[in-house]
Amino acid sequence: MKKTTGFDRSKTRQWHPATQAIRGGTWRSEHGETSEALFLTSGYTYESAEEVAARFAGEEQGMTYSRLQNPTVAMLEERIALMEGAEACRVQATGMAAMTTALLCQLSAGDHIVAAKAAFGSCRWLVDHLCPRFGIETTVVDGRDNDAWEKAIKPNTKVFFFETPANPTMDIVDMKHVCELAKAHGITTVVDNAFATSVLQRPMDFGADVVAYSATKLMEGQGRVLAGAVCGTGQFINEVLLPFQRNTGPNLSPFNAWVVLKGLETLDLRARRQSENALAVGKAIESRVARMLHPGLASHPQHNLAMSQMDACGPIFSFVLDGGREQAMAFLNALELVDISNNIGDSRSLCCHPASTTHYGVSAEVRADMGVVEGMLRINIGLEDPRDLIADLDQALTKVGL
Amino acid sequence: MIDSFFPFAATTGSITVRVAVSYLPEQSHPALGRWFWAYHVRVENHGEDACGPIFSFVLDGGREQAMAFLNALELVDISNNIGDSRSLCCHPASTTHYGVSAEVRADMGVVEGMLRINIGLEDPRDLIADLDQALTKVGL
Repeated sequence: MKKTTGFDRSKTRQWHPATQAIRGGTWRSEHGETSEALFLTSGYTYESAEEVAARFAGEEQGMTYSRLQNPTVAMLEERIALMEGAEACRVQATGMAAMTTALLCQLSAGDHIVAAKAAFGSCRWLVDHLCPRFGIETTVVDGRDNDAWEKAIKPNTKVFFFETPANPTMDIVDMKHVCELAKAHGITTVVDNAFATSVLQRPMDFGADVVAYSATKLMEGQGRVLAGAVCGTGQFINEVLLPFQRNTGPNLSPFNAWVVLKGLETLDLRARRQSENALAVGKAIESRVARMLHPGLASHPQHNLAMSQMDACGPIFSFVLDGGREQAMAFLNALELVDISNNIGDSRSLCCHPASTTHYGVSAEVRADMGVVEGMLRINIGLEDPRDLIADLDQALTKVGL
Repeated sequence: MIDSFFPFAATTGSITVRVAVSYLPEQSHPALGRWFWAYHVRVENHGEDACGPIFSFVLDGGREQAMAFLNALELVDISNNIGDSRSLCCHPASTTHYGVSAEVRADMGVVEGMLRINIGLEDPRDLIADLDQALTKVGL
């Protein structure tokens, strides 16, 4: 491959996703380095005053400031866009920076947003608290209920926002139905795809307009750095999102972008193996828990829908113990291999109690309404041997009397 | 076979090699045969878990054809490293074994037409397409 082949879409669009994940977006320097270079620089220098003036005026190609462009960051953006099948992508400092940017860049006072009620706590905070402060009307609906989306539409509805599978209830949204409904009403659909990534689920194939990520999760996948990403049409990313991002500065550091680039090289392998492991572990403990919320298992009420949208079930599932918060916490404390940790997508298995952690900031009433009960546990299955994970969960369940 | 490759790097690379081997039958590229098959058969006979990501092959046209082949690659990099997640190909006689005298190279079997390739994590279909077009370009 030549130094700039990774940016030649006439070639990179022909590649299969696994190839795009390794080589897409690579732009080699004059040294011809194999691995992408890390450009840790805040700004750029110029050979003349005219050169910098021409760059600012947009008359000459070239970078001017790392809040606007950075070579390492640009490589990551091109790679993610290719993998997603999107025209363009911009990356942000965290998943929540990505969600905030994806929403606020296109919403104004007087607009209305409809969001699925089952969502990550901070996403609910954005919808329930931040949007109303700026005069943006909000409605939350049961994302599983196709009719509820339609009923919530108002003349000023601008955005549909949901995650599927949802954190941590594993609710599934019928993307084709909801995206078609949105299109018919001129509404932009923003899908948080962090639980699956483009390897397992491509929302744009179902009609989504914008796909947003916490790249901290499966994309980076090894518990190192925070990152976010938003994918969309060139028009949306460059004309709607970019002015917001350039002027408010939620940018990703080049170092973190480089770490995510390295993570993407193994994303396909990790996402599929972790899904296989999650299926094995879910099957093994299903009969021991009061309720299993696992998109890969037939017991999930939306199992068929989930599997029609996803290539594999992903690494995350939740389950409920009858003994409430006390039993859930005792279970966490009994784990010997799996970590008590509120992250997901990691190569390590991590388990947490959403009601006291990821959804602590959501009121008890809202938690109950979205199905985040006191006895719920959410687990991310990593790359460990599933036999060791099953043994650990088995002994922990036994210790809490199950 | 290609669609079901999900395991880890070492295993995946090995499966990719096997796919490449099965895709490029000896008779269609007679010059390729020796090294592909010799290595493949040895691995099979020893019952090892997998063959690893690296193999070598010899083109009959010597150094000139080997270098033309490298220059014709569009996806695989010309690079003298191995074990990378990217596919890398090199001409050992002029790179990794440049410091070894021609006599010693000949004695150890590093002939002028030899190429060594490291198969990475790219989709094997894209790699096969690239090797195929490069072989065609050098008349094979």
